[in-house]
Amino acid sequence: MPNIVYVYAIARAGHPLPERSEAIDGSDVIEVVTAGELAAFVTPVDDVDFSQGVIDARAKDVEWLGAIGYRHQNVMNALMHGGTIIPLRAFTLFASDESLRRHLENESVRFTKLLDRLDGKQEWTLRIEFDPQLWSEALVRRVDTLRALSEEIASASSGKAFLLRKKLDDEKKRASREAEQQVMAEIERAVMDKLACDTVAETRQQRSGAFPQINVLLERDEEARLDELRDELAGRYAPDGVTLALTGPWPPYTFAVTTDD
Amino acid sequence: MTESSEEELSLLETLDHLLDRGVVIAGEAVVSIGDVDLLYLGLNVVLANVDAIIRTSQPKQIK
Repeated sequence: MPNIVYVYAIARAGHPLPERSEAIDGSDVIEVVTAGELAAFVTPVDDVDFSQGVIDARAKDVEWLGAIGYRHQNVMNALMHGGTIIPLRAFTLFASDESLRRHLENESVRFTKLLDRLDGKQEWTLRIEFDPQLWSEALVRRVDTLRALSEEIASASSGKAFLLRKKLDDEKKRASREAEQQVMAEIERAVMDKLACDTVAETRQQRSGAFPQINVLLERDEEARLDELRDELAGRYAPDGVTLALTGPWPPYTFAVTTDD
Repeated sequence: MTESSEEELSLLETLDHLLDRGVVIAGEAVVSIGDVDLLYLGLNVVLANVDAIIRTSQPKQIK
């Protein structure tokens, strides 16, 4: 029996309910909880179905997670048609309508500021991908110590070359981390210089080993300029085996932060 | 890339965006799709403190 609330997004009071969207639990129940000038869109769900234990157990079931992703995203898209929203990530739950309402009241100033900031904007993601072979070769070209080691290996005896190769591998790992961060910083700077927009960069370490990415909060009519910049940067980094994948527009999850700006 | 793997990739991209990272790690899957073998999906689920919305990343604005 539904006894907790799954929250999709926060918007200004009066924001329209999404039409004909499947709710997160497969039902068609999407409700609004209003507090002053703010509204939150929710579906009441069962606390057992949405308990940490059940979610942990099902987290690797891509079919189940896919259904969650599909429903969450569809509701979000429908809500975005109605105007600006603060999108919340999947599995944001509150104990009751009342506790959600209290949270909206307590944070009303922040949420209102955040809505103002997100008005007319969309999130795009620039993922920086590294081809292992080309990037490894590029590192040897870019980093003096690697180049010197590589040359030493070419003229060393087989025993010494074996040890040097191990050393080269270790050095490459370290150099790769540093060079990746450098490439990321260069690209982030290029985005900020061209578009004067907010960005949030996420390193490979922050993304549990996934490719690093730069999230960009853009005015709606500026995506062509970002695409143009992507092409320009892709040409610059292609010889190093670095490619740039641009995806979006996304609900502005990355920028839906509730910190004091 | 086939049509179905494009759809799967799009689903993974979606999940990658809508699952939060860096708070409570509930599980992790490494996903390999066709020739896109380097897209990892870290599945982080926020649930325990239901009355708090936790955000870890800070936006930067050009001055």
